Amino acid sequence: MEIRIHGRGGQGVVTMSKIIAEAANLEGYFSQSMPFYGAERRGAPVVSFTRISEDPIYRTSQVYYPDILIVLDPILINFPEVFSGLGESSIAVLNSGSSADVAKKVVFVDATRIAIEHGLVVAGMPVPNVPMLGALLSSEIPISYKTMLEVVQKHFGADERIVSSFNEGYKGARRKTCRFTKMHFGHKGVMECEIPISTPSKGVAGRTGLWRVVKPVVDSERCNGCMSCWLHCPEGVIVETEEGIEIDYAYCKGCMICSSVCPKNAIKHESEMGVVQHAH
Amino acid sequence: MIEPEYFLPGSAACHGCPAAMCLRVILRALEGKAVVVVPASCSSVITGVYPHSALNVPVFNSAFAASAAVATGIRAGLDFYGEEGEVVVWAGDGGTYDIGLQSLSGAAERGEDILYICYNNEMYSNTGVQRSGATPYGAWTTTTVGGKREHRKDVAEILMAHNVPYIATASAGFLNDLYNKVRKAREIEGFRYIEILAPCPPGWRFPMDKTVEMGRLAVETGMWILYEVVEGKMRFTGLSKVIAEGKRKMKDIKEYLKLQGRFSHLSEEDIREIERYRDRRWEFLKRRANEL
Ligand SMILES: Cc1ncc(C[n+]2csc(CCOP(=O)(O)OP(=O)(O)O)c2C)c(N)n1
Ligand code: SF4
Repeated sequence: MEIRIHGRGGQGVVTMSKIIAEAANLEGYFSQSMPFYGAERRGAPVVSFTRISEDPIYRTSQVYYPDILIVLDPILINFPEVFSGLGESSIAVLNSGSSADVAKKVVFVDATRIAIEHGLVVAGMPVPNVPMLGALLSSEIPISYKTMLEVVQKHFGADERIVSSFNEGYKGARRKTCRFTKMHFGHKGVMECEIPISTPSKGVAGRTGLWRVVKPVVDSERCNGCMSCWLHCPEGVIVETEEGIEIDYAYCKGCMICSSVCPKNAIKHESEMGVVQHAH
Repeated sequence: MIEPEYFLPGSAACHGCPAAMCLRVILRALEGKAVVVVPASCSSVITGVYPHSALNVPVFNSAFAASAAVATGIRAGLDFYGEEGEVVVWAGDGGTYDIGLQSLSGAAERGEDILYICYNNEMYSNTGVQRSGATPYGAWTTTTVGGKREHRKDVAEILMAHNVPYIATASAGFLNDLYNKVRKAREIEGFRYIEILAPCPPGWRFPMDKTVEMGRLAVETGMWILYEVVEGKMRFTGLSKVIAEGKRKMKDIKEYLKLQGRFSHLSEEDIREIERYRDRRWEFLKRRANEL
């Protein structure tokens, strides 16, 4: 049995994958868990893989055709690529208040709500993996309630919030049979998105404006339009408009290089009061 | 003046990252007509993870040792399909000086039509600052805790021995110069190599807004030398040309070293050793420039 878990950095994807493998092992199976090797920074999409088998596992590739697909991040449910490789008998386990036609068999639970209600929030971000492990028991995973809870407690401690959020995920999970048409990606159905191909997008690391502690502010009286700031900006967030220089604060990280290279000293430092400094 | 951007905002680069800064300039110089090969490095992180990419050009994330070989293959593929565009390797100094050196040398010797660009931050940054063959004498890294005891090697000089048609050095302190060198490299066919000094704020331990200043100081103090070798003919460029012609004196290297935490433990003797090394390199390169 092959499992693939999608989520974002900080939601506990990799830990969830390890817990499943460990629990399967206690049930007498061979198991394997590995994250997609990449940057596990907060907010960045993360994928992890788990395999469970009665025989020793020699395959060490990524999981392209999952039997169970788990999505920890409700936003990712909108990306068809996430569901690549699902077959007729695959099950999708979603962190979502409602079902979606992404697989024939869908298990869903609003794990984010459960996480928030139980205070499972780290640095402002709900961590839904524990209720999702409870919900996972409603799929065809060969792990008993008792074993799963035991491993969860081993990882997170026997805290009452952990146990009750696990139970709520377990009891709150709904299972539904959906209309499902196998998705084809790429060219004329020949390739089913086997090679992960990314698309260019702004904000691959999220809204990096949140990293800012100091804000550069342009004094248009002093600016002579030499565009030195635009040339040196590592982020490419400075643009020239009719009104002069503009900074895209959604992504400006506040490195202040623009200010340091301005020959007219026209870029001021302004403190970002009240903004929490996010780790990066 | 404003050209389209191929490096999209919101990347995963640190504050003040020289790699992001220079790559943005390079992609503009290539007008986005490029396929970029990135071996394991900060840049593979900076450009984001599946399903998103911060670069608005095709990117291939290659295995560490293989970037020049992968670029060779992509070039052959593009040629087969009659596709235009530059195949660019964008590698750190770990991926160039150490781990990727054999595939780099192989591709250079075969004369592959690729543009290899090394952003040299003088260490392995992505894995938390380890020494590389490009780390200078005296620098602290997590694997040279008391300061590195050896001088760096020089891959640009190794490539001179390969007789490739274009070699240039550049610095994050002089982005227009970098832009012009990439434009020039574009016009030349065959194996081209550009190496950029890329001062990395967290790794070298200096404030995040000083990246450009550090790139300039390196050249002003003669610690980094800007030059170009076109079809074997070498000439100094930019500020290094002014220094080579004796029109400007080099600044005291202490001005460069003292701003960086990685050099904070240096003794006077260490500093003299770095100075001697700098002077030897100048002598060597001046001789070379005169010879040819
Ligand atoms: C074969 C192999 N060994 C080790 C690694 C781990 N690794 C990833 S990035 C990196 C450092 C790269 O250093 P450099 O090429 O200087 O680029 P920088 O991180 O400085 O941008 C290392 C050691 C790897 N990905 N592959
Ligand atoms: S460690 Fe240095 S090179 Fe790497 S992303 Fe950060 S600033 Fe850039």
